[in-house]
Amino acid sequence: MNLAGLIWKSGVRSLAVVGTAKNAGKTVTMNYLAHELSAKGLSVGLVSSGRDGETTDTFTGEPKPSVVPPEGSWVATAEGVLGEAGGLLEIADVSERRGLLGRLVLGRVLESYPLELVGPQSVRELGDLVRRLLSLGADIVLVDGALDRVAAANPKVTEAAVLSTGASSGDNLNAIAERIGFLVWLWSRPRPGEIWVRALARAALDKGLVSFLDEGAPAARETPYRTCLGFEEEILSLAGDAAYVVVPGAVSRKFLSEAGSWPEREDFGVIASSAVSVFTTEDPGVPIFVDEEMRLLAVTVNPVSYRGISYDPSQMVAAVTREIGRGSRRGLPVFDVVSGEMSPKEVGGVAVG
Amino acid sequence: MGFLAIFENLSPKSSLGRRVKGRARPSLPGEERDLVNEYDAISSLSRAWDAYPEVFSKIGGVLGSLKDPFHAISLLEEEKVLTPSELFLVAHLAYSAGRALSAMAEARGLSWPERATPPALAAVEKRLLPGSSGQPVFYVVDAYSPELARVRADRKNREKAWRAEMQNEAAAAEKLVGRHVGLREEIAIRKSSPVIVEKARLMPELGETRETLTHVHFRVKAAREAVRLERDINRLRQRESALEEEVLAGLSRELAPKAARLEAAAWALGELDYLICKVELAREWGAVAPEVEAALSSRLYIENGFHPVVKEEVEARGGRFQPVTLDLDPVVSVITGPNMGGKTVSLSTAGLCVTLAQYGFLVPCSRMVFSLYDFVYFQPQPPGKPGLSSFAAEILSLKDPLARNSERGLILLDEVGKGTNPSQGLALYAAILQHLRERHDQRSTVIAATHYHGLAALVGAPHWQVAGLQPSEPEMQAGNGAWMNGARDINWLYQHMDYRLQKVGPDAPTPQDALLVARLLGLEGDIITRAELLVSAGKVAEDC
Repeated sequence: MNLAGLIWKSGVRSLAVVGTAKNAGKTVTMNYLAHELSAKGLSVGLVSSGRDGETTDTFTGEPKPSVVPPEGSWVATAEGVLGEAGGLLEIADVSERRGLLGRLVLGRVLESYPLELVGPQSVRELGDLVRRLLSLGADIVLVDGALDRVAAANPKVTEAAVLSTGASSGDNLNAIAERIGFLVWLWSRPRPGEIWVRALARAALDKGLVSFLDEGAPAARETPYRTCLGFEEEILSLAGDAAYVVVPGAVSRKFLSEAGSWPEREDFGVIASSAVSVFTTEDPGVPIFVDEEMRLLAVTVNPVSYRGISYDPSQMVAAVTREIGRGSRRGLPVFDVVSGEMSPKEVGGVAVG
Repeated sequence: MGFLAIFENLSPKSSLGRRVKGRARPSLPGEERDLVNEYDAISSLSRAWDAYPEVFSKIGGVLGSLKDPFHAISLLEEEKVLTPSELFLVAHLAYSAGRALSAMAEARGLSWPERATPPALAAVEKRLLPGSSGQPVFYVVDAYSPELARVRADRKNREKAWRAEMQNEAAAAEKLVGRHVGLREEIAIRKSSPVIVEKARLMPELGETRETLTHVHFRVKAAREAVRLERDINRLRQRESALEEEVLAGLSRELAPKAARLEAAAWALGELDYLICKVELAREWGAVAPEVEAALSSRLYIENGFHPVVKEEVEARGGRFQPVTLDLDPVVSVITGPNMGGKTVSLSTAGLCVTLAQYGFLVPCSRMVFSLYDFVYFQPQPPGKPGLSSFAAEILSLKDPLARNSERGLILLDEVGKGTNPSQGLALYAAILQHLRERHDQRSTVIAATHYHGLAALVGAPHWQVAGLQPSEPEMQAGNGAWMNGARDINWLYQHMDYRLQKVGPDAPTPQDALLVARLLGLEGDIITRAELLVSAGKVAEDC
């Protein structure tokens, strides 16, 4: 089963495609999914968190692929960037708010043509936009995102995500595979097992206060802090023998590092709202849990880098597959949508290859 | 007084409704008829809501999806060409007006206010949304221009031909690389396959684009026929864009004379939105239409009035809210009562009801009779200005209503003079009330709340008093006021306070209960006892 088949079979109605670096092949993946899912009879919606579509890579100067929405798809773009594509769009909604690029325009593509996708960056607005496209008639909405625009992958915005990585993500194949393997591990963080923990954590996050959960206590122990950023030590010094700390907003690398030192309990855990709120590039050694789990469906690889280096697609797919499934990790199918290479046999419970 | 909080919480469903709300202003003396018409409209719609709930649901749906077309309309007035987005907004306005009118017509026999009834824009809707059903969408359709239709068809045919030509070329490349090749794709062939690279270089169907460390890149080359078709397609695209611009310009010229009608429709939908907000509020409160007297008088009658914010707070803490009845005729009336007796609530309820009424809302009471005022003055809480005592701030604030001799005002004064020497405070308060009565000459209504004994008699004004604390019979039977010394708290006070206003004689003594209230609020008993001794020893005058 190829990537499009996997997505189609999953039944998700919104999917983030998140590039983990420049040149990771995210736009190629977006185009592939848009056209393949459309060919399967689905009406596809296409949104970007922020602005996608510089025509040349601002770093390398190389031409960048554009999103080419298939005929009949629904898109979100802006008045200021419609250009020639404006005549090929059936406008169904216009936002009241004006951004730098004018008002947001939602419409149905009448003829396939390169189009710049534009969308909001906030979780709430992006979620509203996804729901609006679904209400207009899209069967599935693809949301373009990146590691510096992670709102797309927030569970409040999309039901699932595909990570795109590429040869430009690291200096060698092992480094690339390790990086994506870690990211998959991080974004697969589970909810806490105990019901009492989940309930108290949810209440603390709703209140927006960093809170500690003590074993047996009927309520969370609130601190006056609304963020851990800049207050890591002050907060953790209050841990005592708490079993968990619940952190609304971003969880910094420093906080995770300090969380291993201050609390009295060895199994002290950190609960974030979702994995996209956790900012670390290595396993901090502290258990990490989330209030809302993310559903990662697959990884795509681009074996060609802008630096002129490229890898054999089958080798890259195999290396990334191995790293993702290392140890007790669940594993995920990996695809190169250009060459058609994919993970061998059954991976992560999914039959591929 | 609470009016601002209530008004700010009012949420029209659309930006058009918010625009109308933003320019709301009170009706003033001379505008009684329009105000009464407004009350009738709200009452009528409120009754109709029960009979036709689905009508209001449909209208709510239309209002909730309204867009702001004013920028587009202003462009039409300036005779500018609208963009497709702006034309969509005009089309959406026409569509919404049609849906609103259609829903409104379903409420048979109901007369909608003219200002909240949009003009029909069926012709605009038909012109901008030809063949549309359901969701309004806008596109420069072929129907607008036969020439455009022809050019588009020609372009699509040539694109189809180009794809066929290019596919022929791509077939060879696909055979070489062993997979599907996109017509505009850059094909990368690894240098580690030099035979394939060489073959690709020799193929007339492929053109080399660049070379990197590990790959050589190619594109499918357009043959002569494909190149010719590309030129034709580019030319046709330019012609198509120009024709689309002509269509947009033509539509804009057609719509320009209708700008005033479009604007009227937009405002009407906004008025409808704001009006329905008032209806919803009236239904939530069980509010009534005030009776507006034609001749201006100082009479103010409010029966069973309640302050919605205070009522909500009281009920939230499990208490019972007692409505207020005020029947005031002379220019000046005095209200006295115990601490925590609700004097301020009475004042703010009166002010709120009048303000709501003059802003065209139905009022939270069972009956209200009044005539319109030029202004409402509610003595504000002492401001936190540095360098100003609360007394000084009070005096500065009072200068404004005192100076407005030629206008009718509802002037609500709460314990003027409390921040200074009691005897002079009383004298000042009495003098202010006498001045207001003389200068305002039956035009205004002044309600003065106070703890000062004798103010009503000094001024010769009607005296209203809060009934006060009513301990239960068993507690009274304990005798000698012993119930006052029992362990109580503020909730006991809430439960036993009778907030009703009763007319009493001018010399009726003001309740002396400050020490009781202090005790109930938890002040140390030792302090209360000392204070009681000072009073009973005559060291401190019990009244002022």
